[in-house]
Amino acid sequence: MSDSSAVGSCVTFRCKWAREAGAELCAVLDEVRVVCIGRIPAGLIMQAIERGAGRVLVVGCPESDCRHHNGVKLARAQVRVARDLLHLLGLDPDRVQLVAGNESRTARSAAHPGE
Amino acid sequence: MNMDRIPSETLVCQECGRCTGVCPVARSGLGHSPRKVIRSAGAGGTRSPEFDRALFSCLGCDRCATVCPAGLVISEVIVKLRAEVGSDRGAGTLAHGGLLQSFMRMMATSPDRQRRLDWLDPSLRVSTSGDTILFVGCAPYFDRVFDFPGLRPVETARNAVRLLNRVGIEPILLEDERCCGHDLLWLGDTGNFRLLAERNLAQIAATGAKRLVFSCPECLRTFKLDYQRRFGKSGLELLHISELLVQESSKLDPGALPGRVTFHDPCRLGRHLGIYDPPRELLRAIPGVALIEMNHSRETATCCGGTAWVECGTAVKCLQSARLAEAGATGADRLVTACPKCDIHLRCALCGAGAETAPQIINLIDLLAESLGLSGPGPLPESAVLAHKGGNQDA
Repeated sequence: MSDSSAVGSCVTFRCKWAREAGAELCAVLDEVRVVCIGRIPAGLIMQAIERGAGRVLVVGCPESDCRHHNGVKLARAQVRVARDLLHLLGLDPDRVQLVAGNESRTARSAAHPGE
Repeated sequence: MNMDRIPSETLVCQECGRCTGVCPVARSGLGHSPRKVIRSAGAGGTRSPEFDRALFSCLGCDRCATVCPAGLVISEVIVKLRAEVGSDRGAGTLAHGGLLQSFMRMMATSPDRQRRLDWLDPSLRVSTSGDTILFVGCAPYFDRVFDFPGLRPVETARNAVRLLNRVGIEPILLEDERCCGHDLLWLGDTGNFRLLAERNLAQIAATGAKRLVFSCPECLRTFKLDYQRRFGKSGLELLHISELLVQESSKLDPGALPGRVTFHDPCRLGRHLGIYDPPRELLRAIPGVALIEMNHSRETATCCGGTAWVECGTAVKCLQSARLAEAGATGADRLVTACPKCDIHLRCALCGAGAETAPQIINLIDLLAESLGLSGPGPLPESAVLAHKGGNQDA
């Protein structure tokens, strides 16, 4: 897919409870740690792309393990809007991804084993 | 005081305060006053957070312009001041996390070709040459951003094509049409506005078309007033779709649609461009439709409350609720508007309290299509945009 602006670093918005997930996906990371990825609006994701990010990853825990119950669900809806808009703009929607991590790697799983 | 910074228009202000008396934002009681904005600007006092907030609270609805004894169009002064303030310190508080302005700016600068016509289906007859262009506006984008019950901006775009087909017009749709730039201009981003305008005008000139038809009043205002002021007359005939359909009404022959409706005048269509009658003529032409006017209609119509996706707060919600209550008080089953943004903003307000007494909101284009049997209430075809949603985003 042609996309003239798909260069530059990768920006991640990462849930403070998510461990490791996402780090292996991008060589260059500009990481913003947040209390809940459900509070990252599509506008912020698009502004990261607009200001030169090659990719944007929104990194959280598995949906079943979300500390805030529906944070991942809310983030998924916003990521979907951003991907739709990139498609309309003629850009590659895969530049924005939701990465909901491996269950065994999350801080919550570590803090509450067997939960 | 730097006299160069004072917009000369403000010098005609007589400080009578009529503007503040009719301002829908001032009515919310939160202290907004267009008179004070003009007085501050006239005194060169344009350098305070309070002034900025007042500047970006204005809806640009031009209700004040209808009562100003000096003939001052305050919204035009405000746009000039925003261009000055915006470039220095950034705009007011943007709604939706700045999402809408972001994709509009990207449309201004991105060299990539858009995929904005995915919503077309084989039943819609469009052409690559001819006299008439249908300027679709940002409907495909709004369709992805807003998820209010019953809102389908691309279905309205499809219905606009169906209505033109019905009167024998196969419109040209610009494959890489850009945002008209209305919102960025009204936020003071004149640089990106110019880029958008130049891209649109170049594409339109390349088609050789003679007539440009709009389903969005904001796009029409921008082409008719702002483009012409900055880039000169284009020589094109610029029409709202309701004006064209009134001209061609003998070919429409709408079917009966019993019910009571009320019409909400969009600010850009009404006060900005003086187009009040064509939408009403179309409504009256539908057999069975009884048009009941709200207390505030035509020149005194209330704004839907969201001009350039900025400063959406208590004042805006108050006036939207009041507008819905006013529409409900007419006893109408349906509140018809002719602007995709009014449609979005009033539906947003409908999600709040008091919605149970409000009429159903519908775009004029959708109502006409319904009366002509062109669009049914059945399931809408999924647009091709949805196809990529099926992919695994969770990596």
